[in-house]
Amino acid sequence: MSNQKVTQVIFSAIDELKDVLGFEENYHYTLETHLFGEGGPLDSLGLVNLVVLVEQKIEDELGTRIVLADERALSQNESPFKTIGTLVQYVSVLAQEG
Amino acid sequence: MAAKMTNKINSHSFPPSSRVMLISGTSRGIGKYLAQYYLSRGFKVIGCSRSPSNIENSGYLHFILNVADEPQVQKMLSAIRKTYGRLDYLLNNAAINPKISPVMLTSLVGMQKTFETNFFGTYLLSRESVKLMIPKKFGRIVNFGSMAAYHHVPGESAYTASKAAVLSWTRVFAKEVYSYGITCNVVSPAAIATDLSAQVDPAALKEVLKRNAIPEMGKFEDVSHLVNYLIDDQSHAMTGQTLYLGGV
Repeated sequence: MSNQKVTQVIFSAIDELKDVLGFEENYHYTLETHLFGEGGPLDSLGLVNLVVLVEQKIEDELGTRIVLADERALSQNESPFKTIGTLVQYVSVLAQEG
Repeated sequence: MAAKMTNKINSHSFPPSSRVMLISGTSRGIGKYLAQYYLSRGFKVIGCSRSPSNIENSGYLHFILNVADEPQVQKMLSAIRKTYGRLDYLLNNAAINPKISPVMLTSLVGMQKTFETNFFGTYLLSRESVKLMIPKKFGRIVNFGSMAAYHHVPGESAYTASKAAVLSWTRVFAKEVYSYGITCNVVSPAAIATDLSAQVDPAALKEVLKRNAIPEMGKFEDVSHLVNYLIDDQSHAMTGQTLYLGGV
C-alpha cells in the first residue's frame, strides 16, 4: 500500500474534520503541518476525532482494519501524531501489516 | 488555531426501533435477559459471547468471540458500523467468576483469564464502541461491577480485583468521553440467580448477602430498571458512578 494512498485518506479525513479540528477554511496544510503536541493545533479531543475518522476511512477506502492505539505509538521517540507526515508514515506501517 | 470542541449534549430523538445496543455475554444470565428485554422494547440488539446464542429475533445479531481479542472485537464493531451506521448503547456484561480459591492457591493463569474477560474485555469493547458514538455525539455505556468489590470476600480475590479495576477505570473513562456526549457508569447488582452465581458456595453467598440492606437474591428486573435510567437521553449528568443494587 503506497504512502500516497494513505496521504490521500488522511488529507481527506482532515478536510472532513476541518471545523472540529479548528483549521480555518482556506488553511493550506502540508505533510509538515503540526497536528498534536508542541506547536500542534489539536487538543486530545481533536486528536481522538481524527483517529476515529482515519481508522474508519482506511478500512472503507483501503480495505484494511488498523488500530492507531498501538503500543509503538507510545514508545516512539517522535510521536506519530506530531505532524501529518509522521501520521502518514505510521499509518502506512500499520496498514502494511493489516 | 485551537481545536474547537463544544460541550453540547445531544439528546437524540430517534424512536426505539432505530436505536442500536451492544451487549456482551448474551448467551445466558443477565446478558441474555437484557438482550431479550431490549429487543422487546424495539431496540436493535447485537450480542456476543464465546458460545452460540439461542435468541431468535429479527432485530438480534450474534457474534461468537472472546471480548478480550482485539481483532475479533474490531471486526464486530466494523460489522455494526456497516450494518447500522451507529451504536447508541453498550452494556459490558460479560464476566467470568473462577471457583473460590485463596490467593495462595490462585494460579497466575486463572488470575489473567479473569482479568481478560472482566476488565480487558470491558476496556476493549468500550474503546472500540466509542468510535461509533463520537460521530453522533451520543452514547451510553454501562459496565457491570459486583457487590464483591465492596464486600471483599476471602477466596474471591481474582473476581473482586477485576471488578474493582472496572470501577476505577470507569471513573477515568467517564471524564475522557463526557465531552462527546457519552456517559459511562457501573451497575453493581447484588447476587442474581445465574450460572455465574451458581458457582459460588450457597452458604457463603447467604452470609455475604446478610451484609446488605436487602439480604436476598436480586431480580433481573432490578437490573433493567437501573440500566433504563442510566441509558436515558436525559441522564447525561450521571456519569462515572457506581450504583449498587440490593442495599450493599
